[in-house]
Amino acid sequence: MDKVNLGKSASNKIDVSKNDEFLLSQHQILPEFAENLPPSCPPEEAVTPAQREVWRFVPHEKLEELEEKDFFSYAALGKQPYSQYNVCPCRWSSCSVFSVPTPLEGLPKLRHKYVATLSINKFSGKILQKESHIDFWRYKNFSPLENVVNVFRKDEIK
Amino acid sequence: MKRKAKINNILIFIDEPQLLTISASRNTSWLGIAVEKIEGMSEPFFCVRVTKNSLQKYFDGKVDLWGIFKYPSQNGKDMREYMAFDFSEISNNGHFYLNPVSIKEDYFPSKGIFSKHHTEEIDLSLEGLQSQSDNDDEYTVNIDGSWDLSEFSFFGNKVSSVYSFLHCIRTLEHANDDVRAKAIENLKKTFTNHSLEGGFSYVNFYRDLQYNVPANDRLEVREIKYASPGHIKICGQGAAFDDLADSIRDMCDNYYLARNSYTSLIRIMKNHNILNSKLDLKGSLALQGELSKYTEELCQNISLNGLEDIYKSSDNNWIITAKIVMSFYRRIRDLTEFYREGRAKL
Repeated sequence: MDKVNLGKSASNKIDVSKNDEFLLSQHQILPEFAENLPPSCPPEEAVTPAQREVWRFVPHEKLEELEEKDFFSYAALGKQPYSQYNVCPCRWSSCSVFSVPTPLEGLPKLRHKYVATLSINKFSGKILQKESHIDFWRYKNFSPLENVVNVFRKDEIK
Repeated sequence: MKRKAKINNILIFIDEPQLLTISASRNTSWLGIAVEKIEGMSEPFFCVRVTKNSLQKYFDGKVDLWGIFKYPSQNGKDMREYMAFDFSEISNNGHFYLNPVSIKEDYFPSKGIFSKHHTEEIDLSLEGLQSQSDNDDEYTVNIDGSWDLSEFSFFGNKVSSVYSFLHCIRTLEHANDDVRAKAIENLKKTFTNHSLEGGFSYVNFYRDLQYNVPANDRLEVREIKYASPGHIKICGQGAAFDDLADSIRDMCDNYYLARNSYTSLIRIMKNHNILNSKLDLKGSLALQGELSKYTEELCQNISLNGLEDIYKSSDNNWIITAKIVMSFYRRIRDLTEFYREGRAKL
């Protein structure tokens, strides 16, 4: 089966018709994920997102300081899931983003981070949303750095 | 004091686990939150002990995470106990140790995070919220099989001795430096005034320890139901009950390892003729080194914490320290027999 990349650049080469969702769902086109994912990952419930902006907690305050690895999953960063106990390998391979300003920013490990607003759409990857939290498995041709809208301190929104 | 524990549920997962529920001794509930840095840990979690009632309120959305970390009290009683663990040190069977920790304000979550913000579906039955007794100061021994009246008496006597000892060590653990120094001085009298030559000297030693326990923390039998299965409910200090449960469980798990450490100590003492002698000597440095090694090993195997305090209370004498730890071991071993036989259950 042919693999066709559906990233930003790839979209110029392919006439993505109205039934692209149908084609995706029928596995006629297999976009490649950016990271090596475990079997059955993303899960069946994961969907392709509509055009939207999401938040990603990042360690840098300035846009130009951001690196691609700031959007890597912990699996891609080479971090072991310490213990296999209770940690799903598919979650470990996802990048956590948020749909709206979330009070979870007040968790001790996130408190000192900054927020990057990321623009995503159906060509960006697959997502699975639970409340405000979203697991994001991005496609290989989606560049997070090219799609960061801005970076700000969390207290700037209050 | 360290506590053996395991994770029940991950509540918040953002790139990695951020908030967990944990169960420790006697199925006590804890919440653990990922923090940036705790000395000596690579993936630290700061944990607070919570009552089932407080946890239920948190899951019901009646209190936020900050509230439960700061004020996990019940009926006006201060239940706050904080520990920490390293997520990277969880063993393959899912167990790890909660360790004492110095509290920093940065470890606490901000206000406004409620259970509705959790990112994970959880199995509430793992929290035991429906069936668990919420009385922290009560210890239930589930019993089965046939018991003679003398065995009830023997069992009660051993529980009482072990509890009194653990209560004394617990008290030292949580005292501030001044109170602790005075308590150690007081305990020295009990620890060093007995010859520990065998037989009644140990009986008297434990009797004195029981007198040291404040009246409101002394053991009381709340309920006995003699049936198969039945139970014995006793009340006392919750933290000492946690230690008691830890010791019995580890003694069951490490029965032969503990017996080896104990036998090594007996052999050393026999070789040096100090097993039944008066405690007016400290022994050579080599002897002290050997005794300290096997005493530490024995303590680890039976989950007896606070060895440093026992040593200080023993006038920095490893012979006295070893004899006291050995006497504790014998009592836990006798208790464990009931559990090994299946006539008592944790």
